[in-house]
Amino acid sequence: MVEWYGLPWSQHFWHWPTLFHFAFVALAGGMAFVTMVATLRDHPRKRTYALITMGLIVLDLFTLWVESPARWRFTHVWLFLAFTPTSPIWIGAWGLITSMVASFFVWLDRGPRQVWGALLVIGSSLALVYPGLALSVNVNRPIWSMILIVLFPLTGMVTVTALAMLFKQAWAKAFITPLSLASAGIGVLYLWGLATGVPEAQQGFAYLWSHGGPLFLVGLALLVAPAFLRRTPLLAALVPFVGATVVRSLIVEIGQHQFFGF
Amino acid sequence: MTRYAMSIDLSACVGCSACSVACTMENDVPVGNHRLWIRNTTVGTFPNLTVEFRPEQCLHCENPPCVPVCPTGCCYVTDDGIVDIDEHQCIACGACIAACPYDARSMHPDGYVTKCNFCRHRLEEGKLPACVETCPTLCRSFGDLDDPNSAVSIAIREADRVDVLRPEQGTGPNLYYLNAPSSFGLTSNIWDVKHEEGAH
Repeated sequence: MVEWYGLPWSQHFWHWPTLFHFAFVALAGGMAFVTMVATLRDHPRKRTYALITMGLIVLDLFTLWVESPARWRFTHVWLFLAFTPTSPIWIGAWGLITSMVASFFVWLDRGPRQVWGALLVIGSSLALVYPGLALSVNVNRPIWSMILIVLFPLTGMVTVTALAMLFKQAWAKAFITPLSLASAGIGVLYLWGLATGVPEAQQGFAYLWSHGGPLFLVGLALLVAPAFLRRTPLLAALVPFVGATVVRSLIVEIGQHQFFGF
Repeated sequence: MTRYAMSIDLSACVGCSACSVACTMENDVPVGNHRLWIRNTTVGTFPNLTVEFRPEQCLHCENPPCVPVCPTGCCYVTDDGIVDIDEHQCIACGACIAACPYDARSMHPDGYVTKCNFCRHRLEEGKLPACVETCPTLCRSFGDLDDPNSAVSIAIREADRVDVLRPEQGTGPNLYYLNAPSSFGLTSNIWDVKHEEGAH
C-alpha cells in the first residue's frame, strides 16, 4: 500500500492537442520528402507540393503553439538561438525550418534546384525521424522503445502517401501498399519486442494492452488493409491513414506512463 | 570543486512532511505542483510489517537525462553539481519531464518547468536548503560530497546501508537514502513491493 503527502508529476505532460502535432508533423515531414523527390526530378508539380509542405508546416507549428503552456511567453526563439544537437526537439525544429525555407524557394522556382533538393533531403529526414527519436530517448518509459525511430517515419510516409492518393496523385498508388505493410510489420515487431523484452518492457506491454491494445491491433489491421483494397483507391488511402494515425497516437498517449510514480 | 549532495536517513524519517511544507513556502510552489513529496509505503502483512516514509525530489543526477533532451539549453548543471532550470529560456515542451525517471519535474502554471534546485538562492547566502533546516528529526544531511568532513559525507560513511532510486537507470543520483527500513532496500517501484509482499 502506498500513500502520499504531495504527489510526483506522474500525470500526462502532453495532452490531446499534442496528438494533432504528431499527426501534422508526419504529414509535414512526409510532404517535404515528396517535395524533395519532385524537386530533384524536376517534377511539374513540385511547386504545388512545396506550397502544401509550407502549409502543413505552418499548421503543425500553429498546433504546437496552441497546446504550448508557454504560448504567450515567446521563448520559442531559443530553439534557434541555442545549439543543442542532443535534443530531438531541437533537431525537429531545424528539420522543419530547413524544409520551410527550401520549399519556399522551390515554390518561387528561383535559385539552384539541386541545393533546395539537398536541403529538403536533410530537412525532411530530420522532420520524419524526430518524433520517434523524441520518444525513444526516454529509456525510463518502456513503451517508447528504440524501434519507434523506424516506425514513426514509416507511418508518417503512409499518411502523406494516403493524402496524395486522396488527391489522385498517380505515383502514390504504387507506394501505399508497401509502406503500409512495412509499417504493420514494424508495428508487430514493436509489440513483440515489448512482450518478450526486459521486465520493464513486459510491464509496458501489459499497460499498453490494457489501455488500448485492441485498438492498437485494429490500427495494425488497417495498415494491412491496402493489400486487399487495390480496386477501391479511396478506401486504400483512407484506411491506412486512419491506421497509421491510430498507432502513432496510442503510442504517444499511453507511453507517457512510467511505472515509478503511482 | 564542490559537489553538492543530500542524504536522507529513512530510519529517522517519520513522514511528518515538514520538509515538503517548508519547500512549498520557501519556493512559492503553486497549488498542484510539488517539488518535494513523501511516499509512504507499507510492505508485508501482519506481523511482518515494514513502513517506509520516503521523501522524494529531484536527485541532481551526475548523468541527468533531462539535460541533453532540452532543446533550448535551459536545463543545465551548475559547476557545483546542481541541476537547474533557466525559466526564461524554457519553452515548456515537456521533453525534460518525459526524460526524468523520477517524475521530479512539473509544469508551472506560468508556462515553464520547475523542480527542486537544492534552494540555490539559500546556498548562495550560506544557508542550508529549507527542507534540511526544517526537518525535526534531522534525517536530512547536506553538503559537499568531495569534502570528507561535510555532513553528507559523514552521514553516508556512517550509514549501515546506502541506496539510490532506480540505479538501473544509470543516472548517478546525488540524493542518497540511508538505512532503508526494508530488508530489500528501497521500495523503488511496484514490482519491488509485490516481490517483498510475496517474500513475507
